[in-house]
Amino acid sequence: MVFVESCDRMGAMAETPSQVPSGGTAVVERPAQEAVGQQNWVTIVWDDPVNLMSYVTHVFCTYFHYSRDRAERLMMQVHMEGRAVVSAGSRERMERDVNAMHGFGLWATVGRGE
Amino acid sequence: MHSFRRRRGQLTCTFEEAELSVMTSLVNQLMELLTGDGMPRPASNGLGEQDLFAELERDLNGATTDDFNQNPDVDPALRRLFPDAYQDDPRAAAEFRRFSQAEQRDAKFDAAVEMLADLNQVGDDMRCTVPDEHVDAWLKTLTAVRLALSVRLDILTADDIDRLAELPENEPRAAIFSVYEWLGWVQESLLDCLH
Repeated sequence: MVFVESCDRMGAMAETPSQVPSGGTAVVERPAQEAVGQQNWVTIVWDDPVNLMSYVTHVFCTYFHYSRDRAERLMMQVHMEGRAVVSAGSRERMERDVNAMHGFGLWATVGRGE
Repeated sequence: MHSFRRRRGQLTCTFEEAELSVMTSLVNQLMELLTGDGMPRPASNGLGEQDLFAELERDLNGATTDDFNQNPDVDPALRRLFPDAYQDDPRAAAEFRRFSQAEQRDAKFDAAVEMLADLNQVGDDMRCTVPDEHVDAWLKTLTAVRLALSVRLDILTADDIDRLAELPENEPRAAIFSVYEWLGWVQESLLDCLH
């Protein structure tokens, strides 16, 4: 996956968690889990009746750089199933993605991967 | 209103006078919402002494309450604009909010400022030009305004939208709903030009 650099302000924080006292607490609490399941987190986008389908597709294309085809499939999954996992990786990355989704006005949460 | 189209490489649309004033007013209201009393000052940046003690106390007590979600002074529209990042973990959600909300709020505000600047450029011909580098700000701000309106209209499901569509015209909410729908149409027309 390719991430947009300009969406990276939180990402920069996530790369250096030791420099972010307020954000570091949650990480410090779960050292064992982080070490074991570092890639085991996901970004979930939830269906909402407000956001336009075309806009959700646009967000998936522009932020995640997904192909239009893949972005449309994910958008339809959100629409039909009520939610879709749109990215997976470390907890820091997922927090960055969720923050970006909130910036676009999408309803997104960080979750545990399967 | 004439929908967005590319004119000599530039994205333009043409407003009716009333449409422009509604759009401008809504963007201004969004900016007031983002900077008003209902928006708590996030503690992550520029900690005041009091904030610092409050935070310390919270940490020592191991409190899991998230002021933003519990505080009755927080406008419900703000809760929709700044949703929880963790669904079943209030503590993690509060933590996330603490280090991201100030920046998130500023970004939303800056996007509204960009869009407002374009609206303010509209002259007597009522033509509005949106530079390509402002498209992102327009899409985000239109979304934020629609989200805020959806809270005022109690839109939680698609059925709520169907019900609003059936309201008699003289209902005050019917007028708000038509603005909400129109903003969606504007956004769709802008998105259509991008592909």
